[in-house]
Amino acid sequence: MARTNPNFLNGVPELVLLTLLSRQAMYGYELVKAIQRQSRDHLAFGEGCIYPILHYLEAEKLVRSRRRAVDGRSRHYYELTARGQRRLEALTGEWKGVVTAVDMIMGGRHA
Amino acid sequence: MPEWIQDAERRLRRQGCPPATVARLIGELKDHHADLEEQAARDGLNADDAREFAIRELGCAGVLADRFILMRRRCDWWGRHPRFLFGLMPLLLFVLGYAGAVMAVALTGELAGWWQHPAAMPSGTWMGLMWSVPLFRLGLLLYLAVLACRLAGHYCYGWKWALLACVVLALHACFQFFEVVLPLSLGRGHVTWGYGFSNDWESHLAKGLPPMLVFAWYLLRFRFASPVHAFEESTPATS
Repeated sequence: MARTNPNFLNGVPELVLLTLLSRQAMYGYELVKAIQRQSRDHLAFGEGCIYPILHYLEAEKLVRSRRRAVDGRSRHYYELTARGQRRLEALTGEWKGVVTAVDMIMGGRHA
Repeated sequence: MPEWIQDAERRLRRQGCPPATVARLIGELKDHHADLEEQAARDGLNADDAREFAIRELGCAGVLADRFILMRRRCDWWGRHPRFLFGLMPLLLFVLGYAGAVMAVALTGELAGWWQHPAAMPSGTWMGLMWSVPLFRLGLLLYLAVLACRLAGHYCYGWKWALLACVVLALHACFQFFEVVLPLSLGRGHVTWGYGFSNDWESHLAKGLPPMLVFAWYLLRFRFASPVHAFEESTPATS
């Protein structure tokens, strides 16, 4: 599976993770599978790379983690905080602005 | 534990990441690895192929560890400016803390009239004041050295930056002096603070020793701490 360009996707992992966690608390593996499933494998990366981002989001108090024992295994579930919710709203607005701008440029090129 | 995960753990520990943080990350990676292996086994791969698949999907250990370290260092302004944080900040805090304490003593003495009339204060209090100054100085030095070592761990900067901060503090402590002169003779009492050096090298070295002892403690702790143990103690699981 081809790996996406991490430089081009700067800031996107944060937006994607916050969006998924705003729906329900998840652990790392679950998050990776949700990203792959919901993006239909368009977003692919070294799966371990999700953890530095999750720890960073936690340090920024955008998410919090809880350790839960599930099926005999201890899992770290991440969930969105109120601060994370506000950050998600801001990032969503920015993202929509970028998409609109790029669409306008692409549309202009083809006009 | 797969060799891959051990590589990531070694790399993180070498950079001085806090043991509990390393243990948590390694625990998550181990769980993720096990999930991937289970998934591969369900898809019909044999054990060896499943292990290979899991390692390939997790990505390169070096890249992952470097990414983690980079994110820790870039998470705030202090982390992005290590020269300031470890080279200048300990010195600034020491000077400010010490100057604040000296000014507090001087002002209190002025208001209470201690500097003109030694009789205004009982001799026991004088002795206490005389001892409190070096003790405060020692406490401040130790506190700042411990703080620098903890910050080096927090931002994953490793022992070299902790050493820089401790050396800066030690050098400063070696040559700085502080003296309280009691108003017992004809002159007024006063406090003197400055820098100087003499041929009494043993005294200079003794004054600079506390930050270096803190650094030695940090190195030992860093080398022999058990990350898994530290983590399990700090975060009990809930079901």
